Amino acid sequence: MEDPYNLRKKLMEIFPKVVEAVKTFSTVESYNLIRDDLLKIVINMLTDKTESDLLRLTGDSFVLIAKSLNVDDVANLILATVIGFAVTVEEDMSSRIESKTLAAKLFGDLASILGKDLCESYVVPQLIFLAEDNNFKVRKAVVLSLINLAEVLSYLTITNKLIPIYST
Amino acid sequence: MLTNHEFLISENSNKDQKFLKSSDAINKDNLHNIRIIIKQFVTTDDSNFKLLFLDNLSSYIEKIGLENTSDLIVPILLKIVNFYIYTAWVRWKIHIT
Repeated sequence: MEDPYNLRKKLMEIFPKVVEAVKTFSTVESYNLIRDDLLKIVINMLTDKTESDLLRLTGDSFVLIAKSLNVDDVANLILATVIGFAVTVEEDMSSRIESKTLAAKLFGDLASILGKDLCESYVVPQLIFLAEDNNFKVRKAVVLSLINLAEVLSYLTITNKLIPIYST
Repeated sequence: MLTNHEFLISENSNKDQKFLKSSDAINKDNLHNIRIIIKQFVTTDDSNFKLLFLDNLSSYIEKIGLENTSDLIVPILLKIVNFYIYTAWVRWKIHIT
């Protein structure tokens, strides 16, 4: 009997091995396959109302792929995708909350890969926006991602932009 | 390595064994066996078969090479992740006809 949930779960469990297997070829073609095909699969999983317990596994694969890409592709594909989740205009309330929560978590997971400049220019403004969200789950995800962000950002950005979010 | 003939014989054994053997019988110069497995993956409703396929996937990729991975494996993975989109489309199609 077909069991799509377990199939998708298994796929996300073995996905890091798939990425590593493709990476071992170390060619332009293997890079393109990761960037164009494997990333597309993971983004489909992230956007297709995936069961919430699979989102963590899928997010891990998304971060693993981000680690395999060059700076330009990280900015154009990875960062752009996560910003898309953050500014989602989904009509369904729970989908909107899931997308924003996912964005906040991924911003934290990706901080070291994105680096200081991309984080300061793009991630911090998005997190300030998400930190004011009406939903507690979104705000909580922002707080948890700040730990990783703080390791990348300059002291000035932390004191001038992030701390004021939570000062009364 | 199994010959095609031995592989086909192994298809008659239980599925776990078949997969273990088929993994030895796959390489980029002989895509016959991987095509048999993929055909079965696409047509079967047996989740255990599909889960075993995924367990062996990274090994298959290493054996069949990059170009064949793109042609043979990627469509399978897209089919898995797009299952819900696909079933929604089927329901919609049935609804309007």
